[in-house]
Amino acid sequence: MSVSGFDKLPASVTAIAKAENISISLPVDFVAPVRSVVIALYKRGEKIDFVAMSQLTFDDFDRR
Amino acid sequence: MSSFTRSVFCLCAFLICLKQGDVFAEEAPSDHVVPASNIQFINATSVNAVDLTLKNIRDYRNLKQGTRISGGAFPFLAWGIRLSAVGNADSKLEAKADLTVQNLASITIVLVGDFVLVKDPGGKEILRAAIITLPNNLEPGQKANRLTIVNGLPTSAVRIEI
Repeated sequence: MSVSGFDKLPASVTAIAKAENISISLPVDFVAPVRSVVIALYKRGEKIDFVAMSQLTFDDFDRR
Repeated sequence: MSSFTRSVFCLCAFLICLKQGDVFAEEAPSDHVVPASNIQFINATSVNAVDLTLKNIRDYRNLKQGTRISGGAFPFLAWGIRLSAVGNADSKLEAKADLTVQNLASITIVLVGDFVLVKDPGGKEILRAAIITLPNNLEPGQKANRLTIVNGLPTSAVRIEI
């Protein structure tokens, strides 16, 4: 279990996660005020699944 | 922060999380609540469901994997978190974290693991589960747009390509 981070990404990007001989496409669109997104991979039975969530701050809403 | 801004924050946070689906919305704080911290949760554990206890706040029972819990403006800075797979009463199989966050901190907590006891390289028994804390704010030197990928697979490495 580990954490990887990438920044300065374009507004639309697709990350590819490769594990257990499987490739998973993780498309992300950054739409204001969202500037940061977390995607977490996990095991659902024998399969790999993922869940995504935007990361908002108090400042993000002050900027609106 | 004005009460108007606070209200907009709460409304927008709720709407954004609602749009993503499969999210538990917290109770909306009243106008009397002074925001101190904003913490949201992602259940990326590799068991069917977990019991999540937020000490002195709320218990989430049978929280299915893949579930997200939206944040909001909470009037406190100390968070006690207890996590176990559903059906496991053994305290050795419980992950714990006691956090004291900075004022106005916004944090995403990712829950991972399969709650199996394994031995580390030194032979010490450890629980294969973790409560991972990720700041929502960009760190110094970081720039938008930021993507954080958490590998919650208990036994597999992940390679990421952008």
